[in-house]
Amino acid sequence: MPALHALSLFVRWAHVAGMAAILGGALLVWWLSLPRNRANDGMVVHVAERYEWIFWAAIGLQVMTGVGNLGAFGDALPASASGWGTKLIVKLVAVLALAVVSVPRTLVVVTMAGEERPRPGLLSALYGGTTAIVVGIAGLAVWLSHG
Amino acid sequence: MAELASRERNRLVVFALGTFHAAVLIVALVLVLYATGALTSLLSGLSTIAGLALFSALWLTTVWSTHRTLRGALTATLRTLPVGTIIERAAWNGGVNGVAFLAFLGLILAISSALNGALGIVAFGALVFATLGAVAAFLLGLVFGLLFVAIDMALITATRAILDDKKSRP
Repeated sequence: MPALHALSLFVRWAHVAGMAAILGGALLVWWLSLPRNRANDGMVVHVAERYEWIFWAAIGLQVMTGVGNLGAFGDALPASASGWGTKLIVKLVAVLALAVVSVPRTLVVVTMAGEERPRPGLLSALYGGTTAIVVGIAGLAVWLSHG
Repeated sequence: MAELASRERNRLVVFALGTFHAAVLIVALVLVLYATGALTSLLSGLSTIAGLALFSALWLTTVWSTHRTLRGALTATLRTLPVGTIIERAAWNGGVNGVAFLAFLGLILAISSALNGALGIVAFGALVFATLGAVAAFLLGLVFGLLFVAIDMALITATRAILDDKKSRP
């Protein structure tokens, strides 16, 4: 296998793995914070705090590998006026929105951990919202990968 | 133990905001370049390894710059230093970040050109980077530093509103 082809494959793998970490983690914290699961509130905040590290590392990785994936198209990158281009623009705007709404979520988790006053209802709303946005982005990514 | 945990939380805030700045900058740039049709030519002139190295450099310098801006500014209760101090720090550190990134950019492009045997271009490029490039990078970094500190402050205000909302209280 040529070295560049292996690198391109690795970049795609890292992009998918990063997305899996973001979605899986958000889903886990949302599920743990639901009242019916009766998880220890302090433990949920601790898991959320760990997740925030993973989330931001994965966001950096997603941007890095996402640009790499676009570069792999070379001159064959479809124009922005095409149907594919419109989907890509919507996906990029959704990624920007995810980044913007994630800053207050991280700050809320940090504050809760510092004050040692967990608010499971708030965590549930924040991680439920994050999961919904990430599912939307993942759906767009699958749609884009199928042309 | 509590102090260690607090330091760890401050590190998380610095890492989150630094990554947020670098990621938003690149995604917004890609969005504008793609919409205007300039992305293809830019990406075709950049190898995958150089692209990965450039984003890593931007990520690293931006997290470092955020660390310098936020020293002592945020605690677990989101108390901040006076707004003037934060803006001053953000502007200066944004400018320094611009120059630091330019240094990495120069290094990565120099290695790439040297590997292609273009040593003359490396020497000329180093001269331009070290003079005009540094001034332009400082000014550009300063503008982005001010832009992102405004966004950060708006997001911190939004966070306070979420935490103060009676419905979210236990």
